[in-house]
Amino acid sequence: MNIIVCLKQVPGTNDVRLDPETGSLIREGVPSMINPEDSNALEEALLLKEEHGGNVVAISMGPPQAEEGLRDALAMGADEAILLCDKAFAGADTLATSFTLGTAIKKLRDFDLILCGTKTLDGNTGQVGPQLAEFLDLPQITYARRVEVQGEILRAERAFEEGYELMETRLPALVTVTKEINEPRIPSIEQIMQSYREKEVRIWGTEDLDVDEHSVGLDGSATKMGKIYKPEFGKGKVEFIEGSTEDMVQGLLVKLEERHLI
Amino acid sequence: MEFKLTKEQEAIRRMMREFAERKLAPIAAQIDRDAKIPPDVYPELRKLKLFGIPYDKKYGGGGESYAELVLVIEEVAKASAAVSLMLAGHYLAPISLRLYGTEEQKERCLPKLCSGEGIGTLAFTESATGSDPEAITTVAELSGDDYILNGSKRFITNAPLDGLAIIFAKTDNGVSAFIVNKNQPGYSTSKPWEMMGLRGGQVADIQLNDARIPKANLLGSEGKGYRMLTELIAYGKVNVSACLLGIGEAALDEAIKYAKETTARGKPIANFQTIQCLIADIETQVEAARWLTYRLAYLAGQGGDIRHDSALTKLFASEMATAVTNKALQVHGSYGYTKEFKIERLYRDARFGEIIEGVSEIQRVIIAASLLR
Repeated sequence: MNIIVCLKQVPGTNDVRLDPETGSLIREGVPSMINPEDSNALEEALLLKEEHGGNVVAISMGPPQAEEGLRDALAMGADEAILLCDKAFAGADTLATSFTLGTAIKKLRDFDLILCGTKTLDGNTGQVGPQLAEFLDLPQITYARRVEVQGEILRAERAFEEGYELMETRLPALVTVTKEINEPRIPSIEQIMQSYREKEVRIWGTEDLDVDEHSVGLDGSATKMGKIYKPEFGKGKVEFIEGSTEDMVQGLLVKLEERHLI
Repeated sequence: MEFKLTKEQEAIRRMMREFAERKLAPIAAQIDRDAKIPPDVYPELRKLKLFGIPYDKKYGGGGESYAELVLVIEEVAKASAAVSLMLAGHYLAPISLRLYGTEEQKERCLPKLCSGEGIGTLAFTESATGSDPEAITTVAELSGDDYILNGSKRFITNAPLDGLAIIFAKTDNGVSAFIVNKNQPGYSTSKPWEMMGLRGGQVADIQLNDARIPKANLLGSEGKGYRMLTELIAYGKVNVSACLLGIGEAALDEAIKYAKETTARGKPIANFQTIQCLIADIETQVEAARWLTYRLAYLAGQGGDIRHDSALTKLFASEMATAVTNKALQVHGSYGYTKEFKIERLYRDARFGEIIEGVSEIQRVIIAASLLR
């Protein structure tokens, strides 16, 4: 099976601060890590490769330091790694990101499966996987918590609020996974060193993808971020609702309705 | 002059941190409570190839340097000082073989140690010796092609764990060192000591009753044991300093977390200068210990005489760990004095640092000796 895994580097800490002037995340000096659900996607790819044979390619779009996440992927067992890195890619929304990833994937060898994390810790949109599937005209299954492949058929358990659905599709397909699906392996010291000393991370820019600069990055984005800000917390007051249990429940319902919360 | 890790070292630190947070931190309190490292931890450590990091690949080692080893022990110690103690104690056996073993001994003994299938031990201390080598009473008598060892050792890290021990005993011409299989007849151990901290590190007494050791297991030359011991302990201090650095960092993390999350008069206590001063002191000392430890790891990799530098690094790191865990506990106030908060365990774990591998007073004697001769 030839599997492609999409990875993103995200801040490796909850203590993220905003630049008060630009409103964007301050990433300098903040450690990065592979987005956790992308690690699950990579682990699932490696498990499928161990079962069925084949090849795993890890691909990521990001600044030069995103190479570190791809080295981690190689250490875990990915066979190849590609970093899409170009100033023109910066500022991309999910549509431009999926376009760039999709264009790169079209350049690679034929594949059977694309695996992504369902959503990222920082953006949290859950959109890149589905948009990528649409760009590549692939069937997609999202929120997969279990995947199995038999021949050309992929079956997945798709999680939703009340339970899960059993889905089936023919390959090639794209699947986004949740963290329930597996526990990502941790590579040994030896594997880490090999990923740096013996393996290559290919770096592709706009020229390698043969795309116009204006179709990617901020220029290629359908949406633009206006502002990111932390909500101000004011001092609130506590209201006590008294009476019998039924009175208190009714009183609470009235308050919630008044505030259009239900 | 560069003061930064390579990309490979950063990757190792990152992966080890993830391992420690995922696999060790959740069971650290249990390890402390039960005074035992669960058996399923060892295969996890072996899978990551953590038992032979700086040793030659031809003996099954990782072929890396002491810098990588120190980073590993540091991250492990942040999560569980007991597991880091086990690793630190283990490494005294392969370094003994690397420095003093014959090629035959290395080929025979290093692979099992480097894979972690055998856990290493160094046994010198006796009930009367402490840091005084002249008081050793364990004897090794030559009988045909074997030495017969009789005596006992006290407070030996990893003594009960299957593997190889480097044991020091008196021979006719002084102190000598021997490679001993821990499961051989004549080798037995006491129940592990019930310790104040580092609980889970298996520190026990060894009893040798007519333990028959082939001549081929004499390490180095007869009578050269004390000189060997001083060099080996210097390498031991590299690993212990890394353990203490990890404990110090954990204390800093706990103090910062508590200060940010706890409020007084409607504000986080992190806003109060008294708390800020405590935390600033902690970080200052931890950072100093960090770079002394990393520098010592570099020197250990260079292969020269590290006895002076290891004494001063270990002295500083141990007193740092005691001081910063004390300050971090102070940040926590009364809550720090309960078992509900991690700092209570760190405070107990840190204290051993000023005793293990030679007490702080002896480190001062060693440091002064090389300055004042």
